[in-house]
Amino acid sequence: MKPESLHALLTDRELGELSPEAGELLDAWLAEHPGAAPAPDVCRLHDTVRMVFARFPELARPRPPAWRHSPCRRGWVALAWAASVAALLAGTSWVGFRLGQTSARPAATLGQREPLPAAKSAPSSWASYALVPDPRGGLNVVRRSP
Amino acid sequence: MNDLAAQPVDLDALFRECGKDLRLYFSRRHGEMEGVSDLVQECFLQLARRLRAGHGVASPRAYLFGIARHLSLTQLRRRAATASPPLPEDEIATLADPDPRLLMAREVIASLPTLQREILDLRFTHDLSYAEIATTLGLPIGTVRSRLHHAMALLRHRLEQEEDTGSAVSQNSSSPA
Repeated sequence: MKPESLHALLTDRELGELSPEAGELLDAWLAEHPGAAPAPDVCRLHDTVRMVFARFPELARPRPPAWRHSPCRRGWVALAWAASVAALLAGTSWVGFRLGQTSARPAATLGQREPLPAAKSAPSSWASYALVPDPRGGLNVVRRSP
Repeated sequence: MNDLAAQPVDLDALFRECGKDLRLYFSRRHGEMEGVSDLVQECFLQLARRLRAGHGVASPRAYLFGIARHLSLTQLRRRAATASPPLPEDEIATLADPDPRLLMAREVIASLPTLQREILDLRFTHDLSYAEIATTLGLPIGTVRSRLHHAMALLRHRLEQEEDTGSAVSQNSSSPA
């Protein structure tokens, strides 16, 4: 067993976080390897950590999030935002340009072919009327001669 | 994340059990300040609101520490916004201690990332289990376990190095010229 794994298991057992089954297996392994890891060292290490935290309570204080108020960091964040927006605009423009190119091509090829026959439909009743300019100004609706 | 089952909560008993721990938690993180009692009350108030809303709490102690951590961070941000300077590292280092092992351990722990120090503090000062620490910090229990192991391995390694160096120096000084 690696020393790190052994120490991790001993730490868990010392802290009451090791299941009884795993504890029994660990004991059996330690019985076979008596000089592997002295358990008192683990206890001593835990005592040291407890004493350090009791003696130096400032260790429990989280470091303030200073970067939020740093003008340098704020500048970088603004620059990153601007760069992302520019990249997004450039990307969408390029995609739009490419789409425009590809959609224009079939129309051009269609123009070279024979024109499609105009759909024949019955003339509506509005076909007999037309808008003509009035000499006095404006437009007049006049009825076409049949 | 947490496999503990939700259970009915006796707020009075919980206050007797955890009120002191939470007060200690706040005063250790922020120093002795007037608002500690208010912050402790706020923790229990939030727990009571959650219970009244019909939400279960798997581990009330861990939940309370989670609220306490959240409130503490909010308090810290407010303080930072009002330009209150944090405790400088130099000031910590000037505290004299005769035991070099403790000083070395302090140095190693101070160099750890904040989250790892929090895990050690919650485990060794407040005696929270791995599951409770995981709930408090909103981490998977495996992460709590591995980070604690990593911190302990680093500490053990540095202390062993220090002891080896110390014993070599003492042997050299005691040996006849």
